[in-house]
Amino acid sequence: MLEQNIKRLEEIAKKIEESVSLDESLKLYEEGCLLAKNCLKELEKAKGKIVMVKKEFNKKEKAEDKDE
Amino acid sequence: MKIYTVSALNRVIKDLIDNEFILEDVAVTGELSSFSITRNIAYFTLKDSEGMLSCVQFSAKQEFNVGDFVQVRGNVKYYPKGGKLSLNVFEIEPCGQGELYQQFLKLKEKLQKEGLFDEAHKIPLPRFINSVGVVTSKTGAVLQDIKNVTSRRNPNLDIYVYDAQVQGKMAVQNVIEGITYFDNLSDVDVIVVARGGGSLEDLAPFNDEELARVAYICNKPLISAVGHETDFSILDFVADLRAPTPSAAAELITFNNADLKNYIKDLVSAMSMKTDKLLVDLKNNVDLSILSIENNLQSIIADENMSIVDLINQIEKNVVSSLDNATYRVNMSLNTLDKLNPIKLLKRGYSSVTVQGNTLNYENAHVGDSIKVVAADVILKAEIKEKEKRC
Repeated sequence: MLEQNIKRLEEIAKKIEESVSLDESLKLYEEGCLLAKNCLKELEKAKGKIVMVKKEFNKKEKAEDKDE
Repeated sequence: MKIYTVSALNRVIKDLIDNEFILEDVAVTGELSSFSITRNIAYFTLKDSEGMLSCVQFSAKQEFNVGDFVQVRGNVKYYPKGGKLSLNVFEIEPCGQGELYQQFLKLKEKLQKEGLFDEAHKIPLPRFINSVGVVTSKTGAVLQDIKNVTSRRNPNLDIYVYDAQVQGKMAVQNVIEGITYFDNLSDVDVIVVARGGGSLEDLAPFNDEELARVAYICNKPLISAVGHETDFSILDFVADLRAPTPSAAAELITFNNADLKNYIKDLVSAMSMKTDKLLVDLKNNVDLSILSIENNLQSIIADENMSIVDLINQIEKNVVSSLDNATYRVNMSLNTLDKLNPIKLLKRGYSSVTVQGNTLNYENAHVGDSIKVVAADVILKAEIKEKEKRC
């Protein structure tokens, strides 16, 4: 889903470079901005998740080290 | 013919000798072949290669050893009571060691140099001896001494006797024959050459070189039991073992129940020590093996752990990098969007002009046509007044 959104965003960026009509430009710009905002949010969320998972893993490993 | 009684003749002899001035205050040198002191009176014999002379010294001052070479001064006296002639000595001076003793020392040194006395050549006695060959005089007290001891300690010991003269001319040959005989007799475990104590001359056969060499090449353990504890002969040095006396030799070759018991005890304790050591070694080996297995396992686990951690780090790196990549892509697109933000363009003074909804160009722009102009904060409807091609 995120990858699709990014692809779509890149498509929009390409299109807007070629686009001539103001309306289309505006439409693309608006859609692009929205998509970009969503994508960045998703990416932030994913990064946060990684940090969390890593933290959890490290905690488990430390506990095992203590057991030995 | 003159007829005398014993005492009358003795008196005559005594008179003759006592009054002969040639026999007064004489000095004689010779080797001591016996010497003993009883109640402060020394009785001894002087000898050279051809004869002997008995001597007596009253109020003896000094002890001498058999074999000592001495010079004595004294008067020759005749003692009718014993019918004996004796040198009444009043002075004894040592003058080096006797000839026989010198010969003994010379031969000893020679054989020692040749290695006949080497410890390495000595054959150890078997622990349990079943039969012994004794080279000695069949009629001597020595044989009886040996038999007394052996029969008490080990009645089962077989004793073979080679009857040998142990003194005199035939002694060397006899003893050599005896040793050779027993060396070739398979029944005999050990050979004992035995003789009682005696003077240096008496023991001379046992200082013979040929006998020493025969004893050296003898293949069986040979015990020399010649003379008393203080007497040493060449045979003592060559023999595999020297017994101080014949009885001591008999002790050496016999074992009794106590010996057997101790031997078995020693064997058992040696065995148990060996098995104990074996067990300890085995246990140590097992412990070592377990330790090694543990170490190996731990190292394998550590390796696995390491690779799991590595793998997770790799995965994380990949995910983070693909997320970074995605973020980059999003930002790049955003950048493009921002650069081409139509509102921004309008704000900077650009306008969008359309004719009937179409982007205006040279072909569709006609003078008099109505057009739509969109600027930043205004939308205009306008008319084309002029047209000119821009290059």
